[in-house]
Amino acid sequence: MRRAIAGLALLGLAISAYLTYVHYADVQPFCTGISDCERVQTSDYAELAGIPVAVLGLVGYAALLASLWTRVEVTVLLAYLAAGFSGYLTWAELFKIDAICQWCVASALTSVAIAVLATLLALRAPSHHRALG
Amino acid sequence: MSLMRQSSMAIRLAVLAAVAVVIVLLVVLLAGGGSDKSADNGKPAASKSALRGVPQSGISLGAADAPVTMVEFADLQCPFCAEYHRNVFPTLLKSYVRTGKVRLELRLLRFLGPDSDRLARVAAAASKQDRMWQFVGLAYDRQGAENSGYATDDFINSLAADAGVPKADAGAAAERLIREGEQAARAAKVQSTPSFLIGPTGGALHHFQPSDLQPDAFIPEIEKELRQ
Repeated sequence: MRRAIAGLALLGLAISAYLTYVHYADVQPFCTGISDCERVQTSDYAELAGIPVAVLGLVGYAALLASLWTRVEVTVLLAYLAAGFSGYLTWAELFKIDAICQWCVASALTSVAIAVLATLLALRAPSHHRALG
Repeated sequence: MSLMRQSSMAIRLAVLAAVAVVIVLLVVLLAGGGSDKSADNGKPAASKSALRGVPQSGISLGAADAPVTMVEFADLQCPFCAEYHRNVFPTLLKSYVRTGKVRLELRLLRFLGPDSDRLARVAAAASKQDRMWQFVGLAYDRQGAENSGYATDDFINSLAADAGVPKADAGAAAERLIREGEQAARAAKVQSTPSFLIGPTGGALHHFQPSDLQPDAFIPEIEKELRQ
């Protein structure tokens, strides 16, 4: 279970790293026809207090990965935060920006999957064995 | 895991979920996510990033080989120019400039007063670093009352820094560029701002007077030029 969470966190980290690169390199993200990544990436929702959400994602996934070596509750809290924040951004895409970005959707699904796995991990793990071994 | 321990963990998870929801809500509300104005000096986030990935060279924006060129004559103090930038420019940028169909040129005039002159000079200097459109976008976003003296050194320095041209040299080269624009405006018999010329890139441009400052007043003319 922890390995699956680690794998998903690495996937999220890769997506965030790509979007961070896109943000600072001043290039357009690779986007399929049904998405409008450029519109999402340049919207008011692309930054929070002046910090690109891609950078926040990078930090979040790195923290999630690191949390696997701590108590399972830390992983769960970070996973819920990531899923909650992804939920907010997906709501913004659908109802405020009127555009979807495939990378953001992928990251949102990844964070939800991590939250589910972290919940299962917490329910199954014995209290004395809650760190990545 | 025993049933009791499992239910105790379930309660703990519910508390963690509630904490996460509260934190996300607080962060979103306090950091002003998605608000029109960011906490960063009051400039809309869109102005900072809308031009990302669009080729820019001097006073022109868009692909050099775009089939159509549209020239705008504007004064950075002019409220109608700001209206054009707010209402029309984003649509043109998305549908025609990004797609390589239209190349925009901006000729800055300074007939309204000293604030126009000071802003135009720094904008011209920014064009030397291919950042004029960023500077102009921010200048419109923060436009003050006409001839109120709002374009102070601090105001302009802040615009330049946010546009990515903290050391813009508004000297002789900038003055030359503005004079070229004024000459072009006289040749095109420009009487007011914003005024527009449109035509094939590298060919003869003609005066174009939109009926209002909404995208629908521009699109038919651009489409007509693209068909030719």
